[in-house]
Amino acid sequence: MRYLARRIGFYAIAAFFALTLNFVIPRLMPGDPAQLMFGRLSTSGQADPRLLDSLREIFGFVEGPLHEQYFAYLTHMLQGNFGISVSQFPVPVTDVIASSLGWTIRLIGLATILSFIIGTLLGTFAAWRRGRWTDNLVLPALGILNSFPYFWIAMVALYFLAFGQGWFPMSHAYDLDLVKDWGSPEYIASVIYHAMLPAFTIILTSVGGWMLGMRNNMIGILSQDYVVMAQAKGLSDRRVMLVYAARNALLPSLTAFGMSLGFVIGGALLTEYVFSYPGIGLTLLQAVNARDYPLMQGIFLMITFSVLIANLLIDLAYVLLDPRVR
Amino acid sequence: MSRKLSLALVIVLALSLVLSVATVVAQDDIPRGGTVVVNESPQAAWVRNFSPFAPNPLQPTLNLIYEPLVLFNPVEGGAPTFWLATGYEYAEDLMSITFTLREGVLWSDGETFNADDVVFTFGLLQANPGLDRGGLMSFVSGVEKVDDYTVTFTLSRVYTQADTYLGGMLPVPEHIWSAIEDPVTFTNDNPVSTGPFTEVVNFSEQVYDLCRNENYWQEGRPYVDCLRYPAFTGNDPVNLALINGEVDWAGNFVPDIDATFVAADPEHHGYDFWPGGGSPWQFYGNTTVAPFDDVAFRRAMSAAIDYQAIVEIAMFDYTVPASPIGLGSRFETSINPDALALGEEYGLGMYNPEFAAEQLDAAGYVDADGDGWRDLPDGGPIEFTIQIVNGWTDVVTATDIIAGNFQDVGINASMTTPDFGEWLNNLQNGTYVASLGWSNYGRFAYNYFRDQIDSTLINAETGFAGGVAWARWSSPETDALINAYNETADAAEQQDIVNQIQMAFVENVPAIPLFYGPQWYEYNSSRFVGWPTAENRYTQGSPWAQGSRLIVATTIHCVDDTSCGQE
Repeated sequence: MRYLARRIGFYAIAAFFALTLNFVIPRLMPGDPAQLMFGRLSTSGQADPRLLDSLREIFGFVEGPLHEQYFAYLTHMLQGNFGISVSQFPVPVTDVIASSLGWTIRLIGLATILSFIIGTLLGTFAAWRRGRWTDNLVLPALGILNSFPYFWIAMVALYFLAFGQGWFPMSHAYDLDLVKDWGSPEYIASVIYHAMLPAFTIILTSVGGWMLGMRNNMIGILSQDYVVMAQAKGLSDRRVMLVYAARNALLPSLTAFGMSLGFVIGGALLTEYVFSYPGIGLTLLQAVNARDYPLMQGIFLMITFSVLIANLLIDLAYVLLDPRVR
Repeated sequence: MSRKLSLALVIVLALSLVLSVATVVAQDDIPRGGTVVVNESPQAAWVRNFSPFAPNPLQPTLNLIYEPLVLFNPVEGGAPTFWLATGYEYAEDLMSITFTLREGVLWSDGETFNADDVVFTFGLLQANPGLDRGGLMSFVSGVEKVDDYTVTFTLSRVYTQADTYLGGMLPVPEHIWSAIEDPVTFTNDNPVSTGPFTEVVNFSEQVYDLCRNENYWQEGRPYVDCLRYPAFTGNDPVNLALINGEVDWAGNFVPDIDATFVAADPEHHGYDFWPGGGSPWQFYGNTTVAPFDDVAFRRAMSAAIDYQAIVEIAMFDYTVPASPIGLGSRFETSINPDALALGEEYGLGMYNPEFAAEQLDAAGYVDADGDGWRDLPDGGPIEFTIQIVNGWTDVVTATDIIAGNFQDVGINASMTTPDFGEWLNNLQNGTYVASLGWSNYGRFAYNYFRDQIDSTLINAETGFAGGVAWARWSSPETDALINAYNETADAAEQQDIVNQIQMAFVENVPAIPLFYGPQWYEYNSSRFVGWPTAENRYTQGSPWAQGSRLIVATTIHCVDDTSCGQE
């Protein structure tokens, strides 16, 4: 219990630092979104210079002592009020994020979890039967795929499987004719069908990493005395492999898994671009290009908190899996 | 009645019946219905923002949902296409302008459109300067309702461009917007407007349908039921969808379009980039820093650029090289032949590296220190980068070619590709030496020049360059010409002034026009027809072209009664 309390305390402090950095960094950058917005509008040759001041006022970039701004910012953040997006003015940031966050979490989150499970299982088998075909063929093949640039694999898959053969849809999260309705089986089937190719490309390019990591951990574990002891005692191969060896070999992979879960939100930009998937990774890129500070801050905060929460969950999993920690 | 008479009567009646049926049939033979799939600008996910006052609303908000008083069809050479207004007239002293509004126009909720709405909209702009993107307040001082269908705008100064900008105003319904607390932050989720498509159906982050306004003022139009806007994240996904026939109306850059898009379905896949119709992409040298502060240098560089290579390699032959006065086929009638002749004399706009080298030698740009590169006449080195936006592959290639051309004549130039925000910032604040950039066409040829050389575009305090006055060149003579243009409403006088401006443009080379910007536009006629084409260019077809999408959207119709998914 003390362990848990300490971890939670640590994460609370980390969260506070994240909030502060989130406030400071955009304000250190040169230029501001009002200027960029005004810049774009004034290329038409008609914009009045007073428009810049009005835009500044509208977007909320008013002068004021920094500590006052900071406390206002903290209270807003804790209330969940992220302000109004600049590039999508006057839509609030929470609306912009809400529209695409769900899709990213569902697709990328699921793909990451599946990739981890498949990779870990394959790694377990590869280590148990080392020297056989799982180890000699599958592992190098997946390792090579892992080092291919993701963008390339995604575009090749899209071109040949979706555009060329027509086996999969080319874009979007569900069929354009359907109305969003989670109660309808037709809709759910469409969502799954549209998610197959993007998820497949993600899994294909990341499973190699998990497999390699797990295999190496396992090989270390397999040389331990207690594994030999368990086999000598007559326990079945499968039981030894999964319940004893794999469970211990899993621990280092879990940490990495926690990190990658946390980065699900911002990290799938290329998938979303290639498959026109309405996710938040691309929204973040567009926000950065438009210097949309409120939207950037909102998304950065989500990413930071999701990393922290994912790590907290992994820490809890550690407590369950590793008795030495309790 | 006698038999003959009754027979004649029957025949007359029968004839008139047939005729009336014929006219009804003739009016009604345009197939209706269907959903047109349109490609908008790239976006990750849609957010519901239909406010005509927002800096960046969803694209169809301006000039599809909300309509202007007057449209200026770019193929009409500046002639007005009256839309919500039926006419306008300046007062004798040019200090006010009166618009006559169209009667019988209804808002999509059934209320009548009239002068109250125009007056109210203007009041909103006056009260909230942040909404006045057209800069109306710089020349309009007030508005007055003369009667239900007539408004008079009073101007604060004589400004004969006023009709263009006032005509472009998009009235909003007073009965809705007067109840809104803060029009600045109102996202207008369910727009009430006069346009052909006003009903927002099925709005989700990846697609939304904009369906027809049952109360539209043009009888029988629009012929199609809905416009569907799927969210595409960039060029590549759109191009695949285009080739696959999943998009009907697009305005996209497609590489090697004949071999990729047209070849997929030569009978139905078409495009029209209007070579010569778009404003030129230009080479801008910052005329406030060396070496571009010297007109002899600018003239020489104009001869050093291989325009044909740029058009062939960077632009896939989609367009044609620009003339040194920057006016293409769209403004043919405004071209000053004397200016063209002068340009030829100076060797502008024609690739001739030997001539360029000669001119540089004569102007004193020789290699003083023997490092292989030319130097300034005072001995200082010449070394600069040409900036262009990262990711705009066609113009990045063009910049690369130009840098190579410059190096060939001994000028140490190279390319740099910052992101859009930084690139624009450099241009507008003058922190660049050389850059490629677009230019603006407007209603008249005059607008192309004014947006580059009007000294009032450069803020005296901050040095911020609005419009495309990025080269920062101006002169008291051209400023006087610009003022004179805005003070006369006589077309002949205005043409004379533009002729003089063209001469000044050729004399001083504030920028080097490279090629006319292709007006990206593709269409698929397998389901819908009535598109503007190269043979029948009744307007410019791009869905992103604010000045013409209303015309296209109210003209297209399904190819027959069954192919568009009608019931």
